[in-house]
Amino acid sequence: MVYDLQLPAWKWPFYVTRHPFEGFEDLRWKQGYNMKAALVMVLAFFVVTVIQARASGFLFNPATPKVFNIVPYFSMTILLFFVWVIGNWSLCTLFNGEGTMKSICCVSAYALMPYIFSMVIATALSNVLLPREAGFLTFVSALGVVWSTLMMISGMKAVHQYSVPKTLLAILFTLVAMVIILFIVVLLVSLFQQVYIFFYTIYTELLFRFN
Amino acid sequence: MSFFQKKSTKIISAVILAVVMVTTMLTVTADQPFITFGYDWWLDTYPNQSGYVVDRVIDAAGIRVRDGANPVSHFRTPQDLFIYENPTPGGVYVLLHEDSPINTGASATTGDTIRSTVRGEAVTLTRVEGVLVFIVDSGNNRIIVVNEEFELIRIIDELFYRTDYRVENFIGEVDEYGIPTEQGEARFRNEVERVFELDQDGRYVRGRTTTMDSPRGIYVTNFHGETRVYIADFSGGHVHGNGRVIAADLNSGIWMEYHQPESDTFVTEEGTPATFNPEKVLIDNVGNVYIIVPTISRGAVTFDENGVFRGYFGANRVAQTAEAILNYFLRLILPREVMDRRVTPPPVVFSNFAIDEDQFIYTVTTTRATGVDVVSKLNPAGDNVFADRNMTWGAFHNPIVQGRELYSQMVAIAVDEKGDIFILCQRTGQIFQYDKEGHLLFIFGGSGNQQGTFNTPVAIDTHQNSVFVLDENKATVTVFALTEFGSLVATAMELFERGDYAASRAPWEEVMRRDANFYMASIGMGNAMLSLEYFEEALEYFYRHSLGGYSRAFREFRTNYIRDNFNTFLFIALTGVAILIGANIGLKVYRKRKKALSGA
Repeated sequence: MVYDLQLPAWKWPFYVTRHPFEGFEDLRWKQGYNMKAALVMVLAFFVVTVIQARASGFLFNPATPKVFNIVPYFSMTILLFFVWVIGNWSLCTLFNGEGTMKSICCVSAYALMPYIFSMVIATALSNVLLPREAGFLTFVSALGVVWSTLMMISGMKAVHQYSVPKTLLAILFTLVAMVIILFIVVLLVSLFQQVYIFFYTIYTELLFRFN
Repeated sequence: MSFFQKKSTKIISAVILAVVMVTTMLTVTADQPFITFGYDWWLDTYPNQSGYVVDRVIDAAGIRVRDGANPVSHFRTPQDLFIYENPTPGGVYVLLHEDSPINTGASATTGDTIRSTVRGEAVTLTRVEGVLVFIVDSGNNRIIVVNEEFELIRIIDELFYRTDYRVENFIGEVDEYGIPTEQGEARFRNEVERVFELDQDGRYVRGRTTTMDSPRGIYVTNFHGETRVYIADFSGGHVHGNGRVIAADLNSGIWMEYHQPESDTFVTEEGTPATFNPEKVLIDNVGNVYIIVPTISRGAVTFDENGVFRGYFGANRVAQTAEAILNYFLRLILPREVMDRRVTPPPVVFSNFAIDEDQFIYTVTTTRATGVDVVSKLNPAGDNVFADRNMTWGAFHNPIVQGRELYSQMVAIAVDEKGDIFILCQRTGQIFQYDKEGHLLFIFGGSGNQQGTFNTPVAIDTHQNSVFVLDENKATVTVFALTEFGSLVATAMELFERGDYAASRAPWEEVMRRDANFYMASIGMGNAMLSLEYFEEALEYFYRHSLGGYSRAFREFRTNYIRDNFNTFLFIALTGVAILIGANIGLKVYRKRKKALSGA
């Protein structure tokens, strides 16, 4: 089958989903990276995660929180995604990766596609299935995770023009880089907190002095 | 002239004072000195209507005796409480205490009398009906027996050996039943020596009496048609004391004692010989004796009816603490000699037990967890029926005093006729009532000095719907009775446990009307609605109350929904297929035409 590869931006995520291995090479060849499409995808990732937490059936999500806090979901999806992109970019630019920040961001976002769809289907199914039919749900979720992982690997391979072992190694070290980034971020935040407290103490001290 | 000397001011102030006094009197309600609460789906607390109210609080002075007499001195560190209901109609014949009000006709429950002999003396036994309450007054080395009205029946302090008492290691002649036939010394297995004197008949061990040394536990049962009182004589915790379980009749006559077993297996976890200081005792319906000995962590020490040591029963699992897990890994690496030097944490000894009518033994353990092993339900083989049921017991939020969390300390357990389980926390003075499936019903009691709160509660027992709690430091027995709300719940629970869910709807609705938060009512209503086939309502009641109930209701709901809307589903499916086929055909025709046009 011959495909016309003059695709509009919104069609590329679907195309790479259907062609998880060759699709990313085509994407790179045609430079089909589109930040708007990628951001929509990341936003969808966030929204779908929240929906899954809120709208799953009681039977499959009995420990639903009494007071819902959206911040952890935000950091679990959007924040983690960008930490991944930054980590991967900072690592692969040093190791002859050909990906740019934009291309890495787009490829990673497009790779989330199957996972997002599987979450939607799983959330819908959780409202009609019984616990003993949980196999269907597990299957759908597992399919989404496996498909997305494969897409992520092949996407990284295509975007950096790596061999398969080098890609896997790069992903592993990206995870390490993410941990380091998060560590530094936490360190910075607590440091700034200390500085803030320092200035605030001076401020209150002055208040006492001049009152 | 000062303000208060004006007459009109005086009158006005007097009126105001009177109004204030009357209104404050009116606002005083019979409120309980403790908070009654429950737990919701997220295990957060919320207030509940109270199910139990203090009926009366009895101390030694509250026990009714003959006018002017004062035989019952103040309780000193009482340790156990047992309520015995005689299964045979007509009551039991007891040698009454001379100061008993029943003896002097001061009681309405005076029974008829028979003549009999106790310790070779002719005495009059009086028939006593109803329940007998046994209070183990440990500090005074006595057991006080009263009836339901707290009228004194007996004081068991000095016990004597009956003619049919069987001794072990008797130096001298014994008959075929092991009863001494001549004078001599009996040496017991724990090296305690005792001289037996025989009467003229050559059979009666006359004059030999014994007293208890801080008894800790009691169990009373009817066996082979006679009432048997089993007393765990702690022997003051002395290592070489006369620790024993005394089996006696109601009139203080001992017919058997259970002593430290000689068996090589009677050792502690470390392998050193264990001391035998019985703390609690329990008898099953074939006469096996189960004894909690604090030094033995392998379960209850068990004897059969004839006093033969039968091993241990129902040990707790070793808690999976960090230390236990570390030891498991170290055992893989380190040589055996090194591992042997490490002290392995033994399983926690259960602190108390109770037996139900179906011969299941319920044990309660003091642990920090609220998990499975707080309460175990052991079948006769010693397996925990509750082990895999994911049940939770006790308080989920412990009070924090001066930065330290006060973990609950479950010291006693009672099971009533319906199978409801009551556990008593010594730390908070709270009593937790569960149904036989482990659903929480009521939490009542508390810590304090008012009526209905406790200082150091040690024992709990139930009779019908009353709950009796014994406090060691306050030296009182507190009796709780059901409130109107509590009896409403009890009515509903009775129908619920019988499986008559439809009939339980009305009482549950009334319960919910009075306390919409009552957790068990939602489960009850859900089951009622499910059996009445109102599936949507059942789902609503079960939501965030019972996962299992929700699952059952949802299954029925889904089946019904699909059946009722089958035509709609069929229509949608067929229309969808038709549209797809039509679109496919249309597309093909369109492409063909386009091709033909472009080709032409």
